[in-house]
Parts: sequence; C-alpha cells; structure tokens
Amino acid sequence: MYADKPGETRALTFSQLYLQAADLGFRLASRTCPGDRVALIFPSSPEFVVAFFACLMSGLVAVPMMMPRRNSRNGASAAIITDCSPRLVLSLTALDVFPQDFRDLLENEKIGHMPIALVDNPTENLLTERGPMDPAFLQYTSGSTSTPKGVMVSHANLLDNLQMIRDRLGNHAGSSHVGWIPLYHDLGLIMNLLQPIYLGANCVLIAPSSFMHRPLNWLKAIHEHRAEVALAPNFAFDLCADRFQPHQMEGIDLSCWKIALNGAEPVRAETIERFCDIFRPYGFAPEAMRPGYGLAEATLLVSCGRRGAPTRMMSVSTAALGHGRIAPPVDSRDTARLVSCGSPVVDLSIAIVDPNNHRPVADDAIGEIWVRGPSVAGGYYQRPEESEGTFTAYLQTNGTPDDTGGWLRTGDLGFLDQEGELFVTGRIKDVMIIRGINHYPQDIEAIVGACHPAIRRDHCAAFAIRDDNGTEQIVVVQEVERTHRHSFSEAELVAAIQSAVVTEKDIALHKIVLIRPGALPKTTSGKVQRDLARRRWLAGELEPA
Amino acid sequence: MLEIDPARIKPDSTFASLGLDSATAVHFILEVEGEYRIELYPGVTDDYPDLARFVEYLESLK
Repeated sequence: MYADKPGETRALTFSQLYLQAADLGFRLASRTCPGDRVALIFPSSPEFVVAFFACLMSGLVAVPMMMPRRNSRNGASAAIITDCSPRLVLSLTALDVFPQDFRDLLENEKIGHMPIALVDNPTENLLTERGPMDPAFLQYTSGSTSTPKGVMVSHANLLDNLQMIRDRLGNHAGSSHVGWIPLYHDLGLIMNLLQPIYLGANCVLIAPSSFMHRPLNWLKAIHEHRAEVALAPNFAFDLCADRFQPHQMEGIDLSCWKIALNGAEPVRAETIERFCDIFRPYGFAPEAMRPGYGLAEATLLVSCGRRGAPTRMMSVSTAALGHGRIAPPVDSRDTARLVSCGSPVVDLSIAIVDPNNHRPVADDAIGEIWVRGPSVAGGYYQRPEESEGTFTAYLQTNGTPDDTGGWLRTGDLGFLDQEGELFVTGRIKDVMIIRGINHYPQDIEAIVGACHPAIRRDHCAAFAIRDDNGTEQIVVVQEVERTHRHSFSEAELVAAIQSAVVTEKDIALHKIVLIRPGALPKTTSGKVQRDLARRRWLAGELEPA
Repeated sequence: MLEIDPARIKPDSTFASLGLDSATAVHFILEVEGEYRIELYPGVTDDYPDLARFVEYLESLK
C-alpha cells in the first residue's frame, strides 16, 4: 500500500507487484545482461517497488539513488553513476526533470534511460536464475563523493538479515509497517519496505517531505493502519515531540505500535524519555521503543532488543568515557547516559577490538565494534583495497591472528555490557550523521572551497560537534585567501558558504569560522588535521581572520 | 531560529544563504503559517527561494 498526499493514495497488492515486476523484468532483460547495474531514481512510489523487484527477478543489480537536488551540481549522484556504470537509469518521468549536467553525463557514458509506469495488463514473465552469492543491489551510503562506496548486498545477505529482523522483532504477517524514510536509504529500503514484503504484511509509505512538514501525520497513519512497526532515526522522534499539539492528536490511539525502532544515528536517552512522556497518554507503550544498531556493510540490522523488552539505559562517567573506559559517574556533572542497542541478532557476532593492535579490549573498555556473520556483505563494488581493509579483518589473540578472520570493521566505537548488550559511544571513521544521513567532511570542504574567490581552497576543516541539545552539528573552519584578507566581507563569505552547502547537501552549518591564512592546523605533509582543528575550536583557540 | 544577526538579512537574501535547509524550512513554514494564519505546502521555500519572491507569493495569497 502507498499513501502520499490525501486523495492520492495508490495501492499494489502482492500479486500485482509480482506481475508488474515480472513484466518489467522481461522488458529490462532485452536491454541488459544479467549482472548489469540499473540505477533507480524514484520518489517513494509503487514504481520504485516494481522496479526494484524487476531487477531482483531479472538478475540485475539495483542501485537505489536519491533524486538529484534542484539547483545543485549533484556531485554525489554523478559520482555514484561513474562508480557503478549502470546499463540503464530508471525513473518515474522523462529525463528532462534532471539537471542538464546529469543528463550530459548519462549521454557521455552511453547510459540508457527508461521511464517506468505500471502497465495495464502485465503478462510477460522471464525469471533469470541467480545464485545466492550474486549481488542483489548496491547500497551507496558509506562513501564520500570523491570515493563513493557501493556495498554489494547479495541475495543471501539480504535473506539472512530479513530473517534476523523478523526473529528479533517478533514480526509476522499481521505486522503492518508505516514509514516515510527514503527508499534509497538502507533503513527505509530494508526495514520499512523489504521486511513487510518478506513477512507478507502491509507496508504503507509516506513521502519524506510530507513527514518533515507534518510529523504528526506519521503517528496518525500508524493509528489509521493499526501499524505494529514504524521506525525512524532519532531526530524524527524529537521532531514529533517538538510538533506535538494536543488538538492534532485527538482520537489517536498508538497502542497498536509494538516496534518503534530507533536507528541510523546515535540514539539519545533524552529523546526516548521525552517521546514516551508525551505520547504515553495516546497509548504509546514505552517498551515499544527499540534502539538498534546496524550498517549497510552488514546489510542492515546488527543488534536490537527483543519485542516487548524494556529499553535499558546506563549512566557512566563522562571523564572515563573520554579515556575510553566505562566507569560509574563520580557525581551528577560527570554523568553521560548511554542507551543499549540490545544484543546482536542470532546469526551475527560482535567483538570489541582495539583498532590499533586488533586485540579484543578489556571488559570495561571501549573499542571498535567488529561484526561477523552471514549478513556481512562481500565488499564494496570494484574497490578491492578498501574492501579488504574493512570486510576481512583478523582478530589478534595472544599475538597471532585468530584462525577464521572475516570480521567487518564498522568504524564505530562501543562496548558490550555483562548481558552482552551493545552500547555505541562514538566513532573513529570520518563520517558525520545529520538527520540519519551520512556525510563526509571532505565533501563539505570541497563544496566550501569552490564557492567564493576569497576562500582559500584546500584550507578548510569540517567536523561534527554536539550542540546544547546533544544533536550532531557541523562546524566549518575556513582560511581566507591571503590576497583578500584585508578586503573580504565576512557576511558575504558566510552567506556564500551557507548557500553552497545548503544547495548541495541540504545541511545548515552550525558555525562558520573564518580564520587567517596559515592558521588551520595541518600535518607536515599538508593534510588538514580535522580533529586538532575541532579541539582548538572547542577551546576557543582559533584566530579569526 | 537561524541564530543570525537580523541586520544580515537583506530583501534579496536567498533562504539557502541564510542557512535554511529542509529541516529548518519546515519550522520556518510553520511559523509563517501561524503568524499569518495561512496554509503553505512543503517545498514552498524551494519554489520561492529568496525573501522577495517569497513575500510576493504570500501577498498573492491574501
């Protein structure tokens, strides 16, 4: 099922989905060879679902992509196209809705295009046999624009993780899902679309913009469709609490909601408590709140609590946390609150590892989260070096590698408590997460560097900080060009930088700090030291331009 | 909302240059809806991307 604006609801039954996908798969087969990549550029729509399954059925590798942004240069979309060299691009409409340079790229690379519409009388059918280890789709959420990394999720990976999600969350054919997360996002695709299809349950999709505009409509839809499962990144639960108005919630009963999975960005204790307090009078059960941990490299879900289990939280010492250890707080000011993401799903193992020597850390220590099991993907598409470093790590025990290897290095930091539950405490990889979407500092720095002549290119540091509410925000520290240092207008530069980053990435920068030429910390080889810039900015030590 | 000096906001300022991403745009649209008792739609600040054009659009709703 599918709901967008009122009055524009469209629905697909399972048999219609099968017939439509088989028919489209047949038509795709005449223009492709099995194993070809096919880029899917759709809004949340029945056509996306049909196109995705058509690819699965005809042995093609689906590549879900975000819609190119209006007025933007769409570097990220172009980078993905170049990286995966699809045979075809499928979209809802003719190509003229895409920016000119994106169309030029498709033409230069000789990539075909097919507009997709549901057909009146689907009759064709051609199933192409594919092996379980063949890639089902590429998930591009992990790489920067300069190095996009498409996780190759195989049919076996996908089926294993869907089964693990079902077992852990206790889902069944009656577990209706209501969601708004974009379908190019792994959480939206796998947990909100493929999981209900795997279960034979109803799936209701809401346009992401419609959720952002009226968040409470998501809750209304959960009520109307008696949804059991509705999931979102942490920010969405805050947004619902921000927008809460009693008169808009009249008659809404959320007691049907069994799984409110909170994932894709750090889960905050304050958000959970606030959401539960506000929506408990409307039937929301606090034990429905299900913080989870996962990543595209492991297909999706790694750990999560069971259906009905209360969410566990832990207060720890902030000072000890800063030193990579877990200890009780000394006093209330030394307190950080951590939320349990549950134990790993049955098929996956987690190890907490010292990222430098690859040895398991002590029980009270924080380390890198390593994951192993059948839903860990085979690697990044056509990136053997990065894949080897990330997907095939060996644990060192007593100075020798353990015999089996095959660990995925997540780049996230955390620890396992005595119950074997995972607490995520931070990350060592460069990624910054804004509203559940991964962003890379080098992409932001490149956009800033190109937006104004008074800006000194390659002399920029973008980094994430937590604002007063504990929300992740991006700060940019930028050197001013030597020749402009006495003549530039700060207001003009700040406006140019904001404008460029909002247009390309849809992110409002929290602070833009302009500094004099030479003031940005760099290594002797000229590499920007983001972490040092971040510490200096936090300490107020950066000299203004 | 945007934590910027009002003196920096010019009639022809684009929303993007003021740091209005899609998330802040939603807050902004709701404020405008409440202030002027009108109903807007998501994405209105993309269709009228600077203050002058946005104000002109609001005027046309009267």
